[in-house]
Amino acid sequence: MTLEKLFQTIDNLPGINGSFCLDADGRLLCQTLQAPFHESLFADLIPRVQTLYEAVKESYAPIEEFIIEFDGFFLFLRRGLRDRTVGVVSTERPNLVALRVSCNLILKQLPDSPESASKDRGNAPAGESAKAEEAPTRKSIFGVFKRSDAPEKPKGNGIWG
Amino acid sequence: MENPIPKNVQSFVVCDATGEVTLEDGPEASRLAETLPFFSQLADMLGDAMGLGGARSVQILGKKHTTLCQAKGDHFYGAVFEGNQVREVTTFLDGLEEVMGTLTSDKA
Repeated sequence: MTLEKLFQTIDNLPGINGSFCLDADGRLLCQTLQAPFHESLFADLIPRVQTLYEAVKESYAPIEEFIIEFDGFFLFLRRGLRDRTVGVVSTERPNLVALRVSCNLILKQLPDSPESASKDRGNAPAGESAKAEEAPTRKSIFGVFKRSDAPEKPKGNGIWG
Repeated sequence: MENPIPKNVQSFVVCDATGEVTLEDGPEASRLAETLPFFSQLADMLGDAMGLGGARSVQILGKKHTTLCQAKGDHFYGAVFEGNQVREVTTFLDGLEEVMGTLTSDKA
């Protein structure tokens, strides 16, 4: 099964524009976003998603899920197995239960290595493969984050448990 | 002006971009004030990357609690609440905005 087919579990939910998946190093494994979104946005979006997770973890608590509301769109982010992140763009407030189940299924079924994920991407749009193989460390305005340098995830953090 | 705090709201805060608190309640309020402007900025950056502009709200979904952040005008509104039913809390924060408007006009 290609990754695009795997992501149809999410994309077939009502109000969903498309989705994407990043590995722990911020490499794009798959994306199915439709217009008005273009794959060129990932050059900026990926480091910012990584920054969001790292910054919230450092300054607040380790968090797996975010919902960000914009004018007319919602961005749902879920980080799961092997620190992979699934992002879902929708035009209406997402059904959290359905999204969580779909994201968990995808995160479980994704191939172990990014390389095999890239091979499984089937007919992914041209140009994505090159992006997926970019250097694992990405720079943001807040500095450079390397997964290996990240502190251990604390066990329990106040009310967040 | 009546703006009852929903039962599931554990803490809430209204602060400015520097984290200076105008209204607050609950044990997590101070911590929230320190981070609210930063979270809103991070969300805005995601919106910019996607061509969507600034974020209207950010929900940070913990295992038992959700944190809701909203930027309105010069102020940042945040609440920590149990569960993830956000609608009632959004209404409450909208009410806080009205309270803030009253406070501002009283000062003038």
